Amino acid sequence: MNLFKDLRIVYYFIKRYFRVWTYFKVNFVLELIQVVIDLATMAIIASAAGKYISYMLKAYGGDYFAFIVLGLVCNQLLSVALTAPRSAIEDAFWGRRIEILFSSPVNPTFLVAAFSIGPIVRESVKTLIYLLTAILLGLSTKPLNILSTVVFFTGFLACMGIGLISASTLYLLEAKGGSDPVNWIVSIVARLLSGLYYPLNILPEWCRWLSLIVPHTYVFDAERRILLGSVSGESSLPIHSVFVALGFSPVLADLVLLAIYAGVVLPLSYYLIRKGFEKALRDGRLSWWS
Amino acid sequence: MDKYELKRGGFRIVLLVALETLKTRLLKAMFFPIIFTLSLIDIVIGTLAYYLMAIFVEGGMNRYISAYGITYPEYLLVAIIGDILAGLFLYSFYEAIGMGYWGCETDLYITSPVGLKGMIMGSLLTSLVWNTLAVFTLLSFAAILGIPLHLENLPQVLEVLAIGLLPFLGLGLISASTFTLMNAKQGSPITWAINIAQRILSGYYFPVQLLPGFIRPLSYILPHTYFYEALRLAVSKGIWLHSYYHLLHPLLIQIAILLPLGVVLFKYSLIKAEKTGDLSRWT
Amino acid sequence: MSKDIVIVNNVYKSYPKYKRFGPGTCLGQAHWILATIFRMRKEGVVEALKGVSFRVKRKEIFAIVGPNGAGKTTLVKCIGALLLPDKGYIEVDGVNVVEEPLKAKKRMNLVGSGYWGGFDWSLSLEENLQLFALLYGYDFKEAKRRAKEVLDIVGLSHKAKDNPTKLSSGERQRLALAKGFIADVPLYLIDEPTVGLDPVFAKQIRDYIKTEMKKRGITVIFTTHFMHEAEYLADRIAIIKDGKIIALGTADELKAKFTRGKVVEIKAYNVYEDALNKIKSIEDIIHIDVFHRSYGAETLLRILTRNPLETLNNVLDILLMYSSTILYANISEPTLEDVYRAIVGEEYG
Repeated sequence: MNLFKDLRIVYYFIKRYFRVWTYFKVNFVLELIQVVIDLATMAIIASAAGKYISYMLKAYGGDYFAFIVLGLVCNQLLSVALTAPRSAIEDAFWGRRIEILFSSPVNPTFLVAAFSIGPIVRESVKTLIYLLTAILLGLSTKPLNILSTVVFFTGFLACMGIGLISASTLYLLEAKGGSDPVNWIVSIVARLLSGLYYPLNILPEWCRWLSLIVPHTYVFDAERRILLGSVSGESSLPIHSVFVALGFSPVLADLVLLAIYAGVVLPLSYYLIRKGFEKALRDGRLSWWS
Repeated sequence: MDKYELKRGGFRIVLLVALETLKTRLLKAMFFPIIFTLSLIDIVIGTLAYYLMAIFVEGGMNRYISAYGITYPEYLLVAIIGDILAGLFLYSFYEAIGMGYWGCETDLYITSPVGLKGMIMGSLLTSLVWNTLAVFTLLSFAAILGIPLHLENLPQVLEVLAIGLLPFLGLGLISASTFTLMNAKQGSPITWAINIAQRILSGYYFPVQLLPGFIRPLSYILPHTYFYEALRLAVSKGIWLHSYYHLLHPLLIQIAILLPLGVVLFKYSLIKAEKTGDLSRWT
Repeated sequence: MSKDIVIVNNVYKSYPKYKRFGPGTCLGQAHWILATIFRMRKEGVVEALKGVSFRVKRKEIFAIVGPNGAGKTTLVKCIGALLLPDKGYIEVDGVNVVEEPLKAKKRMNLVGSGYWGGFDWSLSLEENLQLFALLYGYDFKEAKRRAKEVLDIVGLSHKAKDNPTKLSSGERQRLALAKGFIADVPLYLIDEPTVGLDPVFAKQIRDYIKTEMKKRGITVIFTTHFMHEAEYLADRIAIIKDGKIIALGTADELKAKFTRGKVVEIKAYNVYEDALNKIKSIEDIIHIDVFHRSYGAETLLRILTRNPLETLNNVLDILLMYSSTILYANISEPTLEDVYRAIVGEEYG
């Protein structure tokens, strides 16, 4: 695999993605404005209600606006890792481009990864705007450090693994008529139970255990502790107690669990996506039109 | 009579075509009943997420909404349901044209003696069925969570819907006209802009009084502001819209402006599409 | 280096036939997914290829012809590593296609037919072709040069900056061919090269394949429905039917082997059904095609027969007996189309 030649291919896919994204210029501008408006809405709610609920956010520094901004920022990028591989293949599938691309001498898994980079770059741009707007609206966090970067990157890899598993269901389970079961379950649990809009301690115990099945829970908890609260401190996830007893801090516990998650999910996803393509080639169902 | 003249009356044929379109769209949606059910569940899950957030911030928000006599979760729930109902008119016309275009159906209707009327009406009926289903699902969900539904105020709520939804009809027609007039085939920028604005300006998440002073006047331009307010007062206190002039008059003014404008623009967009072939995908 | 660039040996390919679950099954897609997991959805197979074997020599132009559903596209896709055969062996330029598909794909280029050909509407024609060149391992400069060159060849350089949505269907087919010409590979697999093209441009493409590609020493395997195209272009032709190759050879070999006769052509007015039935029962006739024109008033008979003179006399006698008016009669050599119809057993009219 020649890295420079492969990067040129990636460049074209990103170029293509951005052309599509900015083709409808008004929609493009409105999408960016929406980012700002959503944040402003949260800022108003946080300023109205913040001081009455800050005691529930002790582990995360007590600032509800910062709490929610960090959650939304992380969620933005984790969601794209979840959805990009599948939507990339689906886009090529329904756009009748998948056969012609797969007939070229490029590794199919590399193609999937190359397709996915466009959405990731796009969400990164939106995330940057998010953060800049949040800073203008009064966001205050500790500076980014290596630990927060490592935590986020590990969580991102874990979500990418789930995203590839989700993509493999296109061919393995022929789940083409809408969302797939993997992504559906993960996104529901992430939306409701991972602590995106509110801390987990308002949920019943069984919900908190259920929240452990998605990487978002660990990422939100760890990032908020590192950037807003304190690395050590009281546990917020049920599984923390096991690690705290062993002398680990909750943040380290989150990182270890994320690493295990990514370590299991990534090789499994690579295996499943290859199996998916093999099945498609065997059954002649790579493309809708043959 | 010309032997090719349609034997039955014009409107009856259009209605038949509309019902057939409704049947086709519903069959398509119901082809995978699990997916259809999961879509309804998705709405409930989304609402549940906001509901839990509302419970979390209730302590701080309740003092700003004490005038309504309801809790913050109920305050938010009224907005969510109101948004779905407003969406029936706001999005349906655009969706009707968009679905027909991208599903390569418009050619079929355009080349028939009935034209697009049947397709548009059928799509509207489909949206009505879907939105009604969504609202009932949410109301059932609210009842399960123990949120009072205030059914005794139903007549007042119906009055608000009858008058309050008309500005959205006008806006929906204007939005649908952008499909051809502005070549907005990937979503109407008008609907999108209104949607973004209403989330912060119309009292969806919090009363308008919490907005900074320089932005507040903008909220009085949106019909959502009056609609949500009227809906909340009707639900919580049983107040009739016709007795609340400071809500009724702005709504009536907006109806008087938006509805005729919407009709004219929409008709013009269809005429333009006929001349330019913008709604045909036959190449 | 082997003299054969493509070796196909005893290849079998079947497609599973899946049940579709619709409104009758309330679980719908969930049922589908579960049934896929537990392999309950298969309700049979469609055998597309049944023991296909042949070899293609280097620098040869090889045609695969057959009726719809015969297995032509399946065969080409198996060679092109877009389908995994169930059994058998396929080799391209010394590389096992099943075991080393990426290595094999570097030695061939697959050109689809019609529609978009897999092009992206958001990129211009030039950019689309540059992307394909990059996928074949060329650098930026070379990719740009090749894109310009192939657009010239297919006559689309004036539309280089347009996007594919602005092309007519014939132009899209030309663009698909351009994609095919972009890479310098020893083998081209082309699925119906001239479908949708006007006669002038179709001839240009055929001439390009016959002269330029021959000159460059490229091997071409193409599928087609047009017998005259196969006869004009191909060094050898394979006729495939129901997943099996039923004939293989040069055009002359096929004509000699499968016809052993000549074509009697007769045009007449008022040829009735009774007359036709009687003509069809003549012994020496191998195959008969009946073409009706002018709402059935005028009929053209093309009769492939072992005994042309006797057949001509017998047919003329029958037609005159049934009061038909003879306009024209002729004896000629059979074309490949006659051979094809005789072998595949189709009758037109």
